[in-house]
Amino acid sequence: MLRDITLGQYIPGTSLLHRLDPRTKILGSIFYIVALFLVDDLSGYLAITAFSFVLVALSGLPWRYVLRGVRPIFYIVLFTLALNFFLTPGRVVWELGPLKATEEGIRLGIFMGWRLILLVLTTSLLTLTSSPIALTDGIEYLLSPFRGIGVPAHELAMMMTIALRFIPTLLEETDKIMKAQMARGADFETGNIVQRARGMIPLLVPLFVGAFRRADDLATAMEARCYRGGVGRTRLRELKFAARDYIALAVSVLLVAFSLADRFLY
Amino acid sequence: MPIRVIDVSYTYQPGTPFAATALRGINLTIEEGEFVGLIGHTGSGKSTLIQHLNGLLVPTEGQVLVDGVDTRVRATRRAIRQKVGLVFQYPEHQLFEETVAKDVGFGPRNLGLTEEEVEERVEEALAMVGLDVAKYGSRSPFDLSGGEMRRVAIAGVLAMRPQYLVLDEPTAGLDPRGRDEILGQLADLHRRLGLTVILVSHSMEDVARLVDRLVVIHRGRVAAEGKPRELFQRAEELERLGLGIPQITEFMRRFSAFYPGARTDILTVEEAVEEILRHLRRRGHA
Amino acid sequence: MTAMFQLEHVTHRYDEGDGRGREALKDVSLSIARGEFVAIIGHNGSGKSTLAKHLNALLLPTEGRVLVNGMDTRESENLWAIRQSAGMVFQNPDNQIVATAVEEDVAFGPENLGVPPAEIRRRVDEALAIVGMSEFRRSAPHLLSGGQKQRVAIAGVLAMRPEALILDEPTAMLDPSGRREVLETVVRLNREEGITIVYITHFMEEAVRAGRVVVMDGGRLVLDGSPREVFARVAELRSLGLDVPQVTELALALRERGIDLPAGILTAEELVAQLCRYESLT
Repeated sequence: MLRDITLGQYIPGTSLLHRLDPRTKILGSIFYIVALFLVDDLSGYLAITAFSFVLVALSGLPWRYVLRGVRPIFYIVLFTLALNFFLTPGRVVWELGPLKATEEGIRLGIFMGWRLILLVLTTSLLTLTSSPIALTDGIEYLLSPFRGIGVPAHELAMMMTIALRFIPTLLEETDKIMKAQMARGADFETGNIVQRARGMIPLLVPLFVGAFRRADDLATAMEARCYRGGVGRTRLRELKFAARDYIALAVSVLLVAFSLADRFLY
Repeated sequence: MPIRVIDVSYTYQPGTPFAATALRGINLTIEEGEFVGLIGHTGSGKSTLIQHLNGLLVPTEGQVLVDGVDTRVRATRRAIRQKVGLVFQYPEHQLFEETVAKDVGFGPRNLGLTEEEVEERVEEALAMVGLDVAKYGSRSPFDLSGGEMRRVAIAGVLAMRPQYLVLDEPTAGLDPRGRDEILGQLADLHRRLGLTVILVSHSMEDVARLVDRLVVIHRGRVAAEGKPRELFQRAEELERLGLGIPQITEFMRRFSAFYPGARTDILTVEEAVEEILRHLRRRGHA
Repeated sequence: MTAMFQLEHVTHRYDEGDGRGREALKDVSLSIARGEFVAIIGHNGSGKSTLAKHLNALLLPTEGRVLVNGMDTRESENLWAIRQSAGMVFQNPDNQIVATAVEEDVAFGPENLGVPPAEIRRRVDEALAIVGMSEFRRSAPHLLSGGQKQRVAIAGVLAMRPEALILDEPTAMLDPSGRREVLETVVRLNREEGITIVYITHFMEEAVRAGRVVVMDGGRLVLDGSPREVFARVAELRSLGLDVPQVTELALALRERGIDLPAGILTAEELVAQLCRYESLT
């Protein structure tokens, strides 16, 4: 049941993408998203699609696995397509009762759907090729310059770490409590929305009580191990940029430059 | 009518890279009125097996029949869950109501009973675990001691009036007093009400004292089966399966090495005393 | 030489919000020397855990004082030095592991102490080797067994280079093999690394392995002595809701039936040897 959920699953490997510094990958993803939202014509889309496919190839991950990550947004893409098809004003090419699809709408819809698919496909590479630890480290490093203006970089990273650490534990617990209540005749599957919402109480209350108990235990354990916030703290692993990181960042900047050109020059 | 487990295999997440087979062709019959101990080290498949007994899991292959009814039939699942009560490990973690009485009444209410019937069941179930409804009924379950919370949770299952009661390590984490209370109540329920009890335990001393029959699960299979007195004679075999024997039985094995002929099928301290005295007497020393 | 832990007339009152409070510890005095292995037993609510939390300043005495390595736990400037020198392992293995990989978790303590990265690496590797978990250093904690998680928790404390280890029912939630793993690790740390151990448990077979057993009841120390001395008092332990090892119980029953055996027999070997001796004498 709940074990089947694979959240931001990390697949260990040694590919170029795996070896890049997490900061490079986070910044690169941001540049990529900017570029993706800048391109607005067929040639631009084709180019950025080709670029995305090169990235997937560089990740060394099975295509099937990466493409499967797109599956959850299938309905969102469908919805985007329909919305754009019928709601964009322009030359009507097809009618279905009161609904009128326009040529502009079809064009826009396809581009938007395409954009969504690329967005999910490529950004999923970030979590597929970086361990959660690397990601939180990366975020902490990237945010630390902003500590001066009140961004709690260390605290955010610590919260992320703890959340990631406890997600599997809490999923397991949810599964267990659900079964325990089902053994007492609870029903989580039938009834209308109100009945179902009420039916969740026997699951949610124990889950919250348990989460608070864990939080309490964990806070005590952290205190016992001399945790006192980020000040004066050192790290086991220090992040260092390698030559490949500079090259990758240069490529991302070029990508943005290209898409700017695509948008404003042509 | 018994619970029959016939050629049951179970695989978690079949068809994915995370597929894991937990049961491989289990055959087992639990007769009404029995007190069965289920032992095996962690990961042997015990927990998966007991979830099959009330249809929380259904076999990937094979079938489980509860009083002749297949657990795969959706329509009868609710009746099966009522008939086979399942107490998970650390059951106090499932408590959620404002009062003890409401929490224990959760199961009966799900069965669609009237308020009077629910009340009656609550009182009866709390009494079975040695708690007085007048004293505990209106208290919050979260204000109780660990041992009391555990007993309330067990009462929550007993209130369904199951014919079979399956418990996964009901004494884990309790102190000796809390452990003895719960085991004493189980023995009592079995003896007085004829309740069929299936007890998963890691304590060989506890199962030696309580159960009629032991079933050893190892790597998803039934690896051995028998009366405790007989099974604990097979110490080497149990050790290979990652299990031990009661300390007192272990002692009698050592004793018999020095006193040939001494019985080694001893399960309690009282039995050991008599056996040792008999030997010393025979040699004229006591 | 100063004692590792020195409790002087310690009383601890939990504030129950009713102005009166509940006394979890009542005038407890106890001294634990360096290198000792002390087991603390007592039923739930006897004050064991409260006592343990006083040993590294997670709780402070309401009355009396606690000295760790000669440092008073009430002086706030001693806090981190105390917690570094007296590490603590808790009951629930899941709720004390902070990080998403074993070695990251072991590094957590030294990171908090501001140890340089190269030195952290050395300490992490060493601590994992001591508890026999080196091959799991990159594993995710939730995939480990209970015994393995507790060994990781012990490694996390060892990486802080403590002089003492306080374990609060570390085996209560484990299966027999997990219990064995943890107990053997602790025994070895005491013998080979000379680390002072304070070990709280409900399992008498575990308490027997300590050099000294302290029994608590109602917030007071009621018995204190070698395992042999303490377990000789079977009736008293029973009345406190505690177990005695089956062999000890057997030896006592035989004594009551007129077999002349010494009190406080703890192991099967001992009892067989004593029976043979008894037989050769009569």
